[in-house]
This record gives sequence, structure tokens and C-alpha cells, in this order.
Amino acid sequence: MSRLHRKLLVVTGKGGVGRSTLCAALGLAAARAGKRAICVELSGQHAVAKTLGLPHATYEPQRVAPGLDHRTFTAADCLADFAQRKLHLPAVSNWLITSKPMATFLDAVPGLHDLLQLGKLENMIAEPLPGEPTWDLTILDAHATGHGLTLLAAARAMRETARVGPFYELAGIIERFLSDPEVTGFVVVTLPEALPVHEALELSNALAVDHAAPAAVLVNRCAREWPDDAAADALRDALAARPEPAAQALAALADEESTRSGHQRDAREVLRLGLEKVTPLRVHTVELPDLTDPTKLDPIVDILVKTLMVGGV
Amino acid sequence: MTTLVVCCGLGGVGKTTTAAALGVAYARAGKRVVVMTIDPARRLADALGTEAIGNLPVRVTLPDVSGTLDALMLDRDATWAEVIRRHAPSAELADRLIANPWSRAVSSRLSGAHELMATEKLHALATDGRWDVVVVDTPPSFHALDFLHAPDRVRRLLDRRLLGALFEPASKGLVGIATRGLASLVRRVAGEAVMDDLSEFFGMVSALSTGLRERGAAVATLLHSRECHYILVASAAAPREEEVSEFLAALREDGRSFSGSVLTRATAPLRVPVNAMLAELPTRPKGVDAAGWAHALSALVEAAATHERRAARDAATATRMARMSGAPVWPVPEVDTEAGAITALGLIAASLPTL
Repeated sequence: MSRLHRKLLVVTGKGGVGRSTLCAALGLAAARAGKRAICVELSGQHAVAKTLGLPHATYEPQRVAPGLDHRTFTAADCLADFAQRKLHLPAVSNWLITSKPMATFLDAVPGLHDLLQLGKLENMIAEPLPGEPTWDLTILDAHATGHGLTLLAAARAMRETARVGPFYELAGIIERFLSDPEVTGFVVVTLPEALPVHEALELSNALAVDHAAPAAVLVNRCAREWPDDAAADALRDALAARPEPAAQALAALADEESTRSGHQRDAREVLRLGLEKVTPLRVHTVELPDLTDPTKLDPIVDILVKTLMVGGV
Repeated sequence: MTTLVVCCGLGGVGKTTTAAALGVAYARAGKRVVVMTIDPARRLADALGTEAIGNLPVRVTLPDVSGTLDALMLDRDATWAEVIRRHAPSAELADRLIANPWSRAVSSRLSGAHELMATEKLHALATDGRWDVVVVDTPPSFHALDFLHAPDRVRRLLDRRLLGALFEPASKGLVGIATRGLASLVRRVAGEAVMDDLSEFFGMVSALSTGLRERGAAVATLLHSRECHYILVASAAAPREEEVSEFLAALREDGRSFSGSVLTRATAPLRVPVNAMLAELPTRPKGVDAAGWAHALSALVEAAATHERRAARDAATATRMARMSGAPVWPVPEVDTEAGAITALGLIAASLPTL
């Protein structure tokens, strides 16, 4: 992630890996590194907002911390924006744009939700109107359900389906924007476990094929390593040799820790080797600690500033 | 009567694994069970050690069970094609719909279509007669509620009458003026060609609407029956209790029967209190490096403290969820999957009920 001028980080990863939490942490890290940053959520989501302590997520940007804003898109807001920007429709059309039949149209046309929201994202970053706020870095919380790239493949699918017209053109703009590695970087979030790593590699591979290899992989919730040296073995043996239930319980715990730690090491190794196959370029792999209190992000933000933000994202 | 078990929950909580483990539990209880998973990451296929499976049940080999376990992975596109063929008035129309680009986009790109396909398949399995129990995983979503509400919403959307005004505005009166304004606006937003394609697509898909509606009613009867049990799967690491209570309220309002919650990745209490353990820390044997010993001790003390804190947290979560839902909570420990997926499912199954 050494490109100073990269404008957008698309943060992706399966449910349950802590993606939204890390989006918030990335936003805070960017702000701490002196960037004007914004976290964006889609479809009225507010998981990042919640992590950042924002009671209500809104379409209008809100300041959440010094240098960091937040907003959440909805398809309806983005449609109104699209109509005004691209078609230069007067604001009086707004009541029609927000009418019930229009909302039904928006829901009934496959892929339109994704297209309009990604279109707004592109506008906000690449073509801001005079007077509109701008940011150095946008961090998008992109859910990776299904095939992982559902949202990002939306543009291509729409281009193929629509074939002509405003949707087709918008889809083309989005596709170019997302596949320009100078502008857009993908961040894959995973856990140091076998299945999540497997999924992260699948996702990275699909990204490399469709767009570009991920700029970074964040390995969330890395637990402390069990030493697994002569001293640690001596400790286990000393505990196992004693009959007291407490000593036995400790010995069992030491065994569990050793096993867990071994699996964690294996998973990291699988990830490292797998990423080498995905791309010849170096992928920043950042290991983040398992937080005791997930609302106190400071330790993670510190690491992200040092590893990703210094020298620019 | 076929028993249905619907596993709801947010993404990443272990829903798929729970569904598979429930299947194992039923097979152990002597039932003929089929598990439908919907997650396209093929996690069930992984967990069951089967090759990629799609839309067709595959027999899973289990050691020492008196029942049988079949598994299948929902294929959205194939299911949508099945739905079209079932409800289209003619084979010719079905072919045209299946080939239509907007129709092809329905199964993968229309919000809620995944849930619709899931309920269509669930109905097919439940009425097949080959199984005593059908366990279903639900599509990954932001809200556990999506599975309850999305299918009907999509059935309604796939009816051209709803959008009729956009394609053929009324010609007279105030309504005429308003709908003509709207129609021309939509034409400008979407473009003439796209609107013509969409008009054709919605015209064709509307031919399915009677069939879809009737099937919708049959599915609703099934999903509201006493034989249909809803289970909520939540992760102990992030139980998202607000969502849980929202889900329960919706189930209750809908008159569906809630059976209980599975709390995955729950930490079991330590058998010995941590303080008693720490009193038993051994002294450093001769010949062991002092710094290494201190490091190992601190790692062990930290692990014990973390374990105790998590166990206390998870026990409190389970108690709160049980109180909130007025139904049982089944904590499921994290299981070592390295020993083999089937072994792991068997261990999880031991913590799960058969309803």
C-alpha cells in the first residue's frame, strides 16, 4: 500500500471476522496519520457507525473523530443524486424520485441498488461537484456475502445486462474506477484459523482475477503465541506430574494453548504461501491482536498507523 | 409429517456448521434427514468432506448412526430455472425467460431473491416424502429477519402490475399527469432501451405471478406450522443481542414457533477456579532457563485469566438470551476441526437438541 495517492480502500471479508470494526480502526488510523478520511457503509448499514460511537448513521457525512467522517448510503439517496448529477434534472423532480412507485422500481430491477451506490461512491471520490466536501481517503465497508465479490461484480453484471443507456455508462465508469489500482485498493480481513484463511485466499484470488490482488490482508484476533520452547515444555511436564486437580487443569490449559497456537501458526503459514501464489507482488499482511474490549480500538489503530498509514496508503 | 428446522442468524456465526451438526444429531437419533445449506462458499461441503454439491442431495457417510444424512447446497440459478419451469404457462415462455438477461440477473442480483429460492427449495424438500427431517441453513444477511420477510416481498415485486404505471401510464386526469411524469422520468433515468427490455421482462415474469403466489401461500403454511422449528444461531464472540430480540419479536408477531438459541464458540467454564490454579504454579526445575520459565508462566497465567473472563462473559450471555427469549440456549464449544470435519460435527452434535 505504498501508493500515496490511493483514494479508496474497499474492506472486504466474510461475516464474523471483524470487518466493520477494522473499517472503523482504519478510518481512525488514517485520521491519526493526518489524512481527511471517511468511512462509508452501504444499504443503510451502521455497524461501523456503531463502533465509532455514532448513534445514528446518515447519508449526510457526520464528523465522528478529528479528521474522520462517516456516512451510509441508501439506494434511494443515491438515485436522487444520480438523477440530479447525471441527468441534470431539476430539484423539483425530487418528489417523483422519492415517490413510492420509484422505490418499487428501485427494488424490482436486479442489481440497481448496488449500481447506484457504487456510482455515488465514484462520484464522491473522483468527480466531486464544486462546493462538495472531499476526503483524502475513503474506507468502504464492503460485505462479502455469497461469492465474495457480489457487490464489486455488480458493475460488470449491470453492463452486460443493460447493454446501453445511463446504467450501462455508469457501470462502465464504476468498473474502470474499481479496477484502477492507483485509485482503489482492496483490503481483505480474516482470522488466523484454517477456514477463514481458506476463504480469504479464495477471495484474494477472485480479486486478483477480477480487479487487482489485495493491497493488504488484515489478520484479526491473533492470540498470544504459546512459547513452545524447552521452558514451556518443562512447565507442562511439571504440571502434568502433579496429581492436584488445579495442576491438572493448568496442564490441560497449557496443552490447549499449545495446540491453538500451533493452529494459528499453521494458518498464517498457509496464508503466506497462498498469497505468494495469488500475486508476485508483496501483499502487506498485518497481524492484529485479540482485543479484550472491542470498543477500545487504540492498540489496533496504533498498529495500522505504523504498518499501513506511514508513507501513505 | 416432516419436521422442519430453520437455522437463522447473522453471517459468520457458524450457522452452516450448526445446521450440519443438527443433521448429524438427527441421523444419530435414527431419522432420515436432509440438510440444505445456502452459503455459496461451500462451507457445508467442506465441513461434510463432500465434493462440491449443488441442488441435489448427496448421501453423507457417517460412522455408527441408525438414520441417514443427505446434504445439498442451494444453487440459486438452477432453483430459479426450476421455479420458472414450474410456473410458466408454456415451455416456450419458460425458455425465453430463462434466456432473458434481466431474468438471469434475478437469482443473483435481486435483493431477497436468495431467500425466495431458499424457501422454494425448502418446500420441495419438505414435500418430497423421502425425509423425516429437513434442516435448513439460511442465506447470509445483515438481519436474521430477512429470511422471514424477503420471499414475499420478492414475489410481489415480480408482478408487473406493481410497475405497470411506469411502463404504461394512465392517459387521463390527474393520475395520468402524475404517472406520465413519473414514467418519463424513469425513462430518462434508465434509458429507452433498458425500459423496453425491462417492460418485456416484467411482462413475461408476470405470467408466473399466480403460480408464485399460490406457492407462496403453501410455503407460508409450511413455515407457520407446528412442525417448523426456528433456531437462532448467535456467536458468543459477538452475540448482537439487539438483533436477537428483534428477531424474536418478529417470530412471535408472526406466530412462528421459536425453539431456542445456539450460542456458538462458547467458552466452557474452567473446572477449577483460576485462583486455585495459580496457587499450584510449580517452581522452576533445575536447568530450566529463568527468562524462558518466566515467559511460559506469564503466558499460562494470561491464558487462564482470558479463559475465565470469556467463560464468565459467555455464561452471562447465555443467561440473558434465555431470559429474553423464554427458550433454551444451547452453548456449543469451539471444536478442533483438525481431527476431521465429521468428528468435529459429531462433537458439536452432542451439544445440540433434536426437536
